[in-house]
Amino acid sequence: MELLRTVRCLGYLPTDPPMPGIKLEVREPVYGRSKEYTVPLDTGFAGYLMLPDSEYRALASMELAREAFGTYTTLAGPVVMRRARVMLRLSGKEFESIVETPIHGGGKLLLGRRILNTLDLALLGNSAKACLVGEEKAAEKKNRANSG
Amino acid sequence: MDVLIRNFDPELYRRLKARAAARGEKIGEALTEATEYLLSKREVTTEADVNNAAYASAMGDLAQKYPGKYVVFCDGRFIGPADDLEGAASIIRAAGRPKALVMKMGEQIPKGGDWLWSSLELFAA
Repeated sequence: MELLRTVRCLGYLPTDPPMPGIKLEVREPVYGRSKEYTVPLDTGFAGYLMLPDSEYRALASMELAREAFGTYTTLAGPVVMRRARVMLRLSGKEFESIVETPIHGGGKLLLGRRILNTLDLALLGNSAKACLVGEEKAAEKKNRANSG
Repeated sequence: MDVLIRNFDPELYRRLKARAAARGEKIGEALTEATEYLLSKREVTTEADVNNAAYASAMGDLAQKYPGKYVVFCDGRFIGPADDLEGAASIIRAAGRPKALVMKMGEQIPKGGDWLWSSLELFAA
């Protein structure tokens, strides 16, 4: 059995009904401008981090070529997204990633599965918290073994 | 030279003929003038358009020359390769540009996927 511990929790966003989200920071690599967001988690979105159009324009200093733009299928038909390279900081770790926004329309703030699938997350619905989880610390493991 | 044009809009042809007649011109002269005007018009393009066009024409060569490297395009031209993202950022800063087209040669970026129901929100009618 694998035991995990929650290392960083954030209360659900106050929508109706409440929605899980996590905090992350986006930095554009050219001039170092950065913004922090509390981003709703969207397991239905196959992409990276979607930003509203105005936020995207402020951070898209390294845009990809159009041949690398993403196309997502929705109920209303395909939606093409512009894409730009950024650095993401999450839970103290910084890594290269991609932000997206629709070519047409305003976009939304959403964290998709391309990034969610690299994280260990727990959704504690009854306490309305989204938590990053980590492995049990060695000391905790030892204490549990001693008490057991 | 003589040219046979198929599927020309009859209404446009009628108006062109009337205009040419009013100016004492032949149809051929009016069409020549219209064509010259059309060809002299500059297409409005953005920097993103010219960067994408430059990347599309250079992509094959760059993939062979700089595999695994980042390539940077500003002002409609290739301005340099870099080993990493910070290196590409330095190139853009040195060029004094606010943004650029940046691709990593050989990188497979997923094309897209689905965007399901989960992002739909309920609004009161």
